[in-house]
Amino acid sequence: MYKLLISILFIFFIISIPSYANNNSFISISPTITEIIYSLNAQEQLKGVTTQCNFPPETKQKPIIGDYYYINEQMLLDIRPKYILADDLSAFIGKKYKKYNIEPICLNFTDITSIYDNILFLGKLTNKEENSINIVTLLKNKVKEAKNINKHPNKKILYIISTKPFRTIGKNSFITNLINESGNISITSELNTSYPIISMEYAINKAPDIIVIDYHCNRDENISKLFPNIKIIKMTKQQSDIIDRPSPRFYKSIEFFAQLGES
Amino acid sequence: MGSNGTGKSTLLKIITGNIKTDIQIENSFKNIFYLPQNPYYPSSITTFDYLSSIFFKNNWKWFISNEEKEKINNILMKIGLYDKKNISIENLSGGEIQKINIALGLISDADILLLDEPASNMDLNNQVNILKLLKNLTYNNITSVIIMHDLSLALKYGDNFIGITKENKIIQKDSQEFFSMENLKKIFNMDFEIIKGQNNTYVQIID
Amino acid sequence: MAKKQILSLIILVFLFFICLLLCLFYKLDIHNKELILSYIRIPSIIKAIISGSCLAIAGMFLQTISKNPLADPYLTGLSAGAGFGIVISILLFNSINYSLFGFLGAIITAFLVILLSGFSKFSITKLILIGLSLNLFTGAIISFLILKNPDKSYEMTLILTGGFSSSEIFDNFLIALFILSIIICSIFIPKLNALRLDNKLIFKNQSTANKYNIIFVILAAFLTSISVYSAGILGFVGIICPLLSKLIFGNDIRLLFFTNILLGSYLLLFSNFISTNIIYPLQIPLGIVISIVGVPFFIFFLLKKGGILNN
Repeated sequence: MYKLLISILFIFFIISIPSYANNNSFISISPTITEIIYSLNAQEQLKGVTTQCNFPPETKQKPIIGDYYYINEQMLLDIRPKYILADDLSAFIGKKYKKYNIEPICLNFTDITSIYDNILFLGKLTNKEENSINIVTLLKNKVKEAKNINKHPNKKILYIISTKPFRTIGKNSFITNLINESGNISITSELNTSYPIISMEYAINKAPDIIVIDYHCNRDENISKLFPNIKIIKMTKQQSDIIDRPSPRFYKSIEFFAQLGES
Repeated sequence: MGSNGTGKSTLLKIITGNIKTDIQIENSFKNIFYLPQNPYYPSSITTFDYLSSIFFKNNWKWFISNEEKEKINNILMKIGLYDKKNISIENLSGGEIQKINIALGLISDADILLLDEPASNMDLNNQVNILKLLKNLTYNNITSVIIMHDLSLALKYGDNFIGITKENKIIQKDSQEFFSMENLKKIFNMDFEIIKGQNNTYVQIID
Repeated sequence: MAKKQILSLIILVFLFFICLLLCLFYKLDIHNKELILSYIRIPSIIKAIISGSCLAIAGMFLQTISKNPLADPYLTGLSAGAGFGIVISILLFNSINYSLFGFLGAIITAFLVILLSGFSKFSITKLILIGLSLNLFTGAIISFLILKNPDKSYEMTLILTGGFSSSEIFDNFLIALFILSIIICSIFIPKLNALRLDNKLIFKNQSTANKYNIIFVILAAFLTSISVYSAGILGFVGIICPLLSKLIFGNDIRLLFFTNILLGSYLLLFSNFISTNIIYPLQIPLGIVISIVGVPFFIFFLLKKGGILNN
């Protein structure tokens, strides 16, 4: 009898949850999407961010509900957003909360066109369509300008994410697209994955002109020995944040790559 | 000898030092060799290698000397397993493995062998062979302490007997005096008939 | 030594050298020959040999003294200890010298486990259980640290799976440690021949046998830590190599010592070759390759000669 009662109460609980959902509010578990939302000026509808979201600085005022791997479920139920916005990396978390009638929206960022599409999509979602169209046209102009900055095009660039294991960017990576857009060539662009672990000999044999090392790269003291007489650029945290994220600031990374050829 | 659970094996373990007690044991023997009831043996090892293991115990050399090889060959001849020298030990029968374990004791330079039911899974022929071998050792000043349940064999090859009764009393006598009806009754709680022949004594159970 | 054993030994040496040459000169680019050889191929070959032989010998030690074919070099809680050291170095010291941290972590855990299992009342079963529980305990801390640092979690999980990245320049300290440990081992190896029998038969009492057991446990822990230093945590090699060489070469530890060195380094060299070349230029993590290469080979021998293991 008790069991029956408890299960009836439980079912009642589950059914009663969805009716509380707020209208058109969402949380973002991706720093990129947080940036886009802010650039669309739709931050009022954004009810929660993750620990990784650090741009623009105002994101600090939003409540933090988790990180890449973990969301505090209690806070999520308190906020009770309509959507969870996730990118490719965090997609798997978003899907867990369908049972609370919180719809996961997963956006894929594979190249520059997909960034435009995603900005337009988020514009529609937040009823800021005008803003989104403006931003996209602005970005397209910026990209064209950035291309023209490049005085020494067709430099061969090796972009290193980590040295142990030796990971770089492949064809499907968004960064490869940025490098191509800047008029330079990524030497690992023929590899048919996004972030491959490759053999170092391949990189040496391809003879890159410039090596760019990600800020998060673990150790780089041996790179200069393995690639003698090659220009090596170690990025700062801000630069890495811009390059790693397919956010509306991506034109800055194209500018960065375009200026690499200058001594 | 004695019934099960009277502490025969425990006694041997106390002597070897595996069970620590407060009793001070005065030991006049230099090397003790103890053979437990079911010793572990490694797989894929030849009989010869198995016996040679003992020679690596006390020194740091990589190879055993020719003398020691000769010693192993001799003991294999004595126990009749010379032709199985290069056969893996797990292919031998239980009785043969037991014989090899005893041989290990014989080549280990021990002056006292403590054997826990060594002859329990051998055929009669082998039991007699092993006991003869052990008996011969006594002429070289090597003592064997054997736990046995076969009264007639024990009577034939034993010199001194220790019986442990159910009340944990110890009866220690030589063969003539040990095999009396009263002693056996105390130890096994059964009636025996002792038949004295011209040269030998026989023991018979009475129902 | 029987004819069959000599033949197998010759085949093994032959395979070893073929693999060595393949690893050195396969598809070597002429323009960057010196660079690639001295900074990538030779260091990784040396590391493969060191870690392979260390793991195989450590596995042999532990399998012999515990008389259990399932004993593994990481038995004494080493893998989690090493992992903990590596994670600490990644988080606190920006992954400088994490192999050294792994080495120290492994050594410290091993001694902790041996101390906890007690010198006077030492027993192998106690050692295994304490090692197991310490493994679980440290493993939980590692998982917690990985979850709490999501920006470095990918790096940590990749490093914890082991493998010698070619980016490491080769290390004299490692080679010195390896040679030292091999010398110490070769002193103690014949003793292990006596320990392969039932300890009650060989030694007067258990505590004498335990002295030797502890020596070999410490040696095994040291060897495993060296392998952690050179290649991170590599599973499977430490179980498969001692068993395989026992299946092929019998049970004479003096012979097994050399065959284990050969077999362990051969397995790692071959896996390294496969991992770098099979889908060149992409690399498959070494741990995965070892299992894929080793398991079918091992099962084949097990089916053919596995009767020996019945005991």
